[in-house]
Amino acid sequence: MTFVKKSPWIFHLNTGSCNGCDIEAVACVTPGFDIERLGAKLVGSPRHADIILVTGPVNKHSLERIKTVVEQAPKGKVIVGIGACTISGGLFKDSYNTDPPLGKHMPVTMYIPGCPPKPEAIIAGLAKALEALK
Amino acid sequence: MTDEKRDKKHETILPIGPFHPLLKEPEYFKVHVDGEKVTDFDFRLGFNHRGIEKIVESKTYSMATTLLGKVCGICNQAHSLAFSIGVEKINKITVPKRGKYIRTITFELERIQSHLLWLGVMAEAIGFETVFMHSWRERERTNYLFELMTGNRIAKEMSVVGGSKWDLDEKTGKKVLSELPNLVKFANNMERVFTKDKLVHKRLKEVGVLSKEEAKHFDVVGPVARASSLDFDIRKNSPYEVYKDFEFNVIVGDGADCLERTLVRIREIKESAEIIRQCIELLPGGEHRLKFFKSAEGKTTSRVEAPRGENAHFMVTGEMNPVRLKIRAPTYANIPPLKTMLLNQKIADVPPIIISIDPCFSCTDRIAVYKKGELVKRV
Repeated sequence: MTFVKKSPWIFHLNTGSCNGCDIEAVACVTPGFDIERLGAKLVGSPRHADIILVTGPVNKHSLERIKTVVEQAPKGKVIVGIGACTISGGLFKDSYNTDPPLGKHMPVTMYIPGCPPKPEAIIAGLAKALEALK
Repeated sequence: MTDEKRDKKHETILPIGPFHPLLKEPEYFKVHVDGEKVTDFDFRLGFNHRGIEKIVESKTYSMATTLLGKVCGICNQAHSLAFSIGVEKINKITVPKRGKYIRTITFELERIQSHLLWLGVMAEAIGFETVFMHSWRERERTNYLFELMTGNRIAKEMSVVGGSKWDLDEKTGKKVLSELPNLVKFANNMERVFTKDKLVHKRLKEVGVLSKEEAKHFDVVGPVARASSLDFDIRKNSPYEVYKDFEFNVIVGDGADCLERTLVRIREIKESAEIIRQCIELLPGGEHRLKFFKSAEGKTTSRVEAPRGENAHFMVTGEMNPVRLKIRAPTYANIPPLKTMLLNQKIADVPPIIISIDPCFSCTDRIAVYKKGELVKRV
């Protein structure tokens, strides 16, 4: 029998997205997809998190606060960007109030593309992020 | 509580946000508390502002409906539909009836999806995790139907100027019809839970009361208004699209508290299912979309009843792009009465009260520009 070496705890951080990626990330936790059976769990504080799921084009107004939240996570954390907005700004790349991409502000391990990505894609991405946690 | 009576020495400020597990969106609420009691309330917007009204000015009309769908991921058709109706009004386009019916089907299905999502979040706010899981499981049914109809679970983009983007084949229509009884059954079940369960009543009954007079004073919209016995629904009061063809009731409650807001939304799920059933049965044949390239110049206002309430768009159109667009999202009207609802309540009741207005900040968010401490403009 093989054991799961790590149960990733996930913190979800919204940097001003349209809610599309956020509800898909939460849908992963609920019975339709249920990532809890794989040991993953949504936590309320970044201090408990192994993986930080970031959504949205980075909002200029909350940029400093986003950095503070991410710094609170323990060392060895993995930052995963969800959606087209974190990669390039998506539909909001021309906006005066956003500052994409996310990689400019923090070290991002991986991106999950899509607008919004399906829960299946998010779960596949998290499985790959587990390898980065080792 | 009036300001003179307040004992500011013993007051504590309880910050909720900008990044808080209660809300899935970054928003800042400042709750002043004296012991357990809430004495004042303030909020700050702007963490979610993306400047969509400005971006849309550089897009063509077919691009604009896609962009406006991204105003909010939960009620994404509400905005693209309001915009499409406005542009169609300016150009005097007679949209094919089939297109209108298909748009209505996805629009009402979206209302069901939004209410189920909200019900889960509300249940989680009062610590009722089971209902959260159950209602999100049922919500997967609607997302599955969206995927069948449009190819996307969240970004439906069914409304375009001139009709509906996709046609609805008979097989998919039957699939939608076959899923409706499951959703209605769940709504009935939840109605039973929320009317009979004593623990739920303890958490929600007479919490966050907004009387009819106060509701009128603040001009609240949507289920919040209807729970305070204001009989107002754009679908009935100024019908758009094809709502005249259907028989449905506007759900009005008189409890004016968090429980009534929950029950109004649960009952609306059943009404929406009824509208969808009539839609699919009456679905006319023919074309579903007209081609649309250039617009006439003009200005107009269009309103739709989004899941959260009245959603109004004011637009000035140019030949290829909109010249100006102003969006008035339903949550914008529903935030100010939060202070009235929260005063003199306990800290533990703050989450259900904030959630009870179904806040959607990505629709609402606005910013104010200051230069050298002076207000330059509000965006």
